[in-house]
Amino acid sequence: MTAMLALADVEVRYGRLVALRGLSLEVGQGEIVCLIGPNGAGKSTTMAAIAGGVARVAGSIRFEGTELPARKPERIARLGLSLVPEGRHVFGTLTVEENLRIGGYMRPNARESAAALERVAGYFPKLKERWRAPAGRLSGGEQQMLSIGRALMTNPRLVMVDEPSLGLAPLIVDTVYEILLELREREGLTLLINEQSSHRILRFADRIYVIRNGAIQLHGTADELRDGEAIKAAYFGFGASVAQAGAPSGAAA
Amino acid sequence: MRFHRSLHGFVTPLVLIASVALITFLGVLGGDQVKTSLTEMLIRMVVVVGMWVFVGNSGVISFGHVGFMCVGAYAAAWATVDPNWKSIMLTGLPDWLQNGQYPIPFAIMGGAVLAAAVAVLLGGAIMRLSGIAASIATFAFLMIVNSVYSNWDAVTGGTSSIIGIPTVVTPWVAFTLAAGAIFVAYAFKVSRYGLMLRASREDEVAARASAINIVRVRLAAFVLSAAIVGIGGGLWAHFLGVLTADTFYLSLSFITLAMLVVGGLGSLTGAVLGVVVVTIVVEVLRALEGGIALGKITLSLPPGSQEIGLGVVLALIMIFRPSGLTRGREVLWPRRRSPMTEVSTKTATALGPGE
Repeated sequence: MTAMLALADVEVRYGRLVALRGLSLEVGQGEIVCLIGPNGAGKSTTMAAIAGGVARVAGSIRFEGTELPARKPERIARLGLSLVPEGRHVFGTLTVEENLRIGGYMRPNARESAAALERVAGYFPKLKERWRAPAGRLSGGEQQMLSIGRALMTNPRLVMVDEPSLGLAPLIVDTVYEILLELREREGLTLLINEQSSHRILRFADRIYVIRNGAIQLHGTADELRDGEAIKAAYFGFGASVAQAGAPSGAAA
Repeated sequence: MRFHRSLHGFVTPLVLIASVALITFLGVLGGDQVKTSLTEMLIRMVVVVGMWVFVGNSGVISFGHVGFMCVGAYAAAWATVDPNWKSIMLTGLPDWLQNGQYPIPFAIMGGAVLAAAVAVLLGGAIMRLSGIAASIATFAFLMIVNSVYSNWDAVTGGTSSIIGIPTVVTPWVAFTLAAGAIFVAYAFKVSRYGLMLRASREDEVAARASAINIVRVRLAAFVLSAAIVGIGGGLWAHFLGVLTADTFYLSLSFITLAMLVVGGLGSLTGAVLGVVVVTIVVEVLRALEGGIALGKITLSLPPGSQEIGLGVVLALIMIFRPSGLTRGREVLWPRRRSPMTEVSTKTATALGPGE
């Protein structure tokens, strides 16, 4: 089986700083894959590289078999690969409804886009209550839901969510994750999610990649990494040999 | 309810147009001086509303729009000035322009088309830039337009003026076009393109992630905006009857931008209100500069007070209301507006601490 999204030896540099050094990962159809790692490890850069936000120095990024262009985020969004950027980027002065409608503008016909609006609103009852309020007035959790909703409006098959829990209360984070799971079930979405911490991820994800210093240190299924020890080692970088020595099986043992 | 909502969508332009109509109606009752100022204000309204289409929706400040006014004004003048004069002074014009004389509405539309065409060329190059870089590029455009129109003797008359342009723009003519500009600007704002452009103003990253081609939506607004400003230029030419390139330079750029900022960049209401408020301030200061007779003594402000006064007003607004008099809001029916804002602030505070 070929992966839906496949990154091979991706390298990204910001000036002299190397942000990703030969990163490879795969996401299969229908999976929930999580990328975890400390601040500055390269999680957001990975998503930006996939979504076309940064120039790629080397490597390949293929989505459903086709190589993605660099620096063309609006084209990539049309291919069915949607990014929910970190830090709740909503269009502050526009209403909730307008924010969502914008996501649907790339759909070819208006009726389909109206139906999508109806369906997406169904997942977020809280947003429906605030339909005509400016998005900037929403609470953090509502804004996070709105940016997920807007991504859904673009009719994606794979959604990347960059740190959905950032700055949110634990209860709200749970709600956000429940909605993401529901979306996988009902819409058949594939999800790639960035997180800084692993505890919640182990419950939701199918597979996990640990990233540090711009490269994958460890990967395995959630079951294999259940006890969290291998993740801890890879995350903080002690016992780097653990990661190199085929970590998944080592962690399961 | 449905009827109410569809009507509600166009309350803003209707209220604005009605208010401007009222001002025009009161103004034409005044003397010649008042009528002149009124017409000037209405033409500036066309220009400022045109600028707002781009600046307000995209959030990119343009210093170059007065350049489009210059392009529109000259193009309209080329079409309507007496052919005998043109054949002596503007020898560089193509034959059909040099020897022909065209109806004024046609001439003004021609000015709009030329301004839009220039905007396509210019915009294609600078819409890729962002923020201040784009603004500086528009300023460079203004300088280029000014030096081309001041020096291309065979086509623009160079530093000597174009004279003998028919002066047909009355307050009501200017009002009609200002109303048209308001309507078009609002229709653009609520259109798909307008919404996408406003989204890109709010957040470029999220806009591109939502498949918005920012360069394209900005360019569309830039071209429409240039066309409306070009119409303003054509009106100006047919109001003054005389054209010099230096009319369309720094001081006019400053005053039109001041109008936008005073009213508030975020809303069309702001653009319209800004024009009215700044005009009133300028006219009052101008009158004071001229002197007011009180019994035997005449009190007058020293020359230059007009600019200083305007500068002070601008500074005060920036300090106390940085997002302009309207704070980015559109005018709605008062009854409709108060319950809406009340509800949303209530829910905001009710939900606020919960997070």
